[in-house]
Amino acid sequence: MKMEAEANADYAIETRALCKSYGQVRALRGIDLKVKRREIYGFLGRNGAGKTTTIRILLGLVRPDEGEARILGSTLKESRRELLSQIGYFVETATAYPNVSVRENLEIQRRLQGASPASVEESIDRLGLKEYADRRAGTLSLGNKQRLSIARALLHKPRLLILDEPVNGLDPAGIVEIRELLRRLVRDEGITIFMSSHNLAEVDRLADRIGIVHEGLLVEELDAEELRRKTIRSFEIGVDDPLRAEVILRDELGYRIIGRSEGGLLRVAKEGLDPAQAARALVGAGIGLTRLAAVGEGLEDFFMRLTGGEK
Amino acid sequence: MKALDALLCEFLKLRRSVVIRVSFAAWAAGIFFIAFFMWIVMNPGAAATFGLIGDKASFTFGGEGKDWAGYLHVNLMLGAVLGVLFSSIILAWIFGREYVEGTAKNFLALPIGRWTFVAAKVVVAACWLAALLLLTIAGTWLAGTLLALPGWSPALFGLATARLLFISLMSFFVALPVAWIAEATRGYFGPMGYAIGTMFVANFFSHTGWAPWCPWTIVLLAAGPGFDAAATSAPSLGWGSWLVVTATAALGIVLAIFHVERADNAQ
Repeated sequence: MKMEAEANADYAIETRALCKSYGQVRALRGIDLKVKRREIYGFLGRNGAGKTTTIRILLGLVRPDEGEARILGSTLKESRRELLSQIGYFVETATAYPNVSVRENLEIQRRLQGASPASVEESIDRLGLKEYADRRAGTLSLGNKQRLSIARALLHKPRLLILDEPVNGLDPAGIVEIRELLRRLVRDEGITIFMSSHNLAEVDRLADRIGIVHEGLLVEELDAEELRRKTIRSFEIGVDDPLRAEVILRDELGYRIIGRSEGGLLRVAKEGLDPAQAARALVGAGIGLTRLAAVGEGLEDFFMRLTGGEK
Repeated sequence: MKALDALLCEFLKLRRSVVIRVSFAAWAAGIFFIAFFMWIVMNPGAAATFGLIGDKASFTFGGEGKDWAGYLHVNLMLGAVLGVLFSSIILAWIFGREYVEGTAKNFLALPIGRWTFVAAKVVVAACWLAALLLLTIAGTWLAGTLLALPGWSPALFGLATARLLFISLMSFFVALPVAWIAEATRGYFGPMGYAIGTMFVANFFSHTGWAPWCPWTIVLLAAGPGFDAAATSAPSLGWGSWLVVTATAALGIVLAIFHVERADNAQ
């Protein structure tokens, strides 16, 4: 019965109206998340928006006041141990037992997760920790602690990875390496990744879908295509006869011209604009088209706009 | 099997720990100083040349014989006072470090019963204290032998060892609420407050008729009278005192398990 339910579940994570308060502070005010299987889901929000509380609820570290979280088709209440054995995670900061070595830290996790003895060396290799394996975890740099945390999360070959700021503290080469690793995990092993981050550029590059949480509410949830569409602010149209082109676009097609620049570049508002129609009309009028491109605001500006930032 | 793994992991976490080495060094230093004071008391001329240290030694051994019976009884009394403090420090470190080092969130989301971690940590603390106890017994015997104290008998040493075991067990029992305090306060300061507070409470109740009902004073009572008095195999504590000590231990463990199972771990 449980297996059937799991097989039917489309979502790796599904939350319904999650609410959580700490005293007078309302950390979550009804979060409804849907994370599809085998996708990378970027969970964005400002400090205190509710990201970590959501992750803690997903891992059973905190109980919601209201609502429910289903993970891989069931709740922690129904099958805590079975579910947790399929989740790899690290929360908030990379931590480890400082007086024991990297290898021993992984050995502790391996025993408690019930993973195979070979998994420790596999994880060390996978995360490039070989030269630090016998070093005390307390002496590692932040970036290597982060690698150790990811190695620990992957040790038991989980089906779902929940990562809080996975590239925090990594150098640019390390970020690329981890990004590639996460992509490989999804592509080759069918793992679902739920990651929270402040690093908008990283989420933009990596995530298949993005959820933006603000003041305890999910204010936007969209995939890469929707994000591209929503972040388009205008179109740039390059022509060899800007004066005639402006007349056609404005007077005949009813578009709003919001800017002009030297070299025959017109900036047209996105509202009502059909790029194909514009191109046909201009070419049909014998005007040479040198450029037709969407101008986006980028995830950062979009995020700031949604969360009431200054930008 | 998982419980055994949890236990092995708790031992593994102690590897290369400075705190372990410091605890053994501190305990060994305590044994040495008691023996040193005994030597001073046995050699009054030397005591005079040591000034304050001599006075301190005389104070420590005041009323006790300069023999094995006196030496063992002073060890027992200090064991009763310091036993609760050391048990509290060890429990505070074992439980509190998971919060101080930020590792609690890692093990609380593992596919293993959270009570297992509490049980494993309590067993590790008990083993640690047992090792300190062995050091005490061996060190006391060695020091007493080197001092060539008069009045040695295997029966007397066996009786003192039995009392020491008894006191240590009681000290550990009444310190167990520290496990919960360390979890609830997420660190070391709460447990330290408990340890210091209980020393004051024990001292206060030792001057009242409530001594047999106060868990931390009961440990002092358990040290028993000196061995030149009518020494029995164990000091006679009433059933009420036993109940209080056992209930304190049970409460500590139940609260520690309840906390990791039920409380929000928003570390």
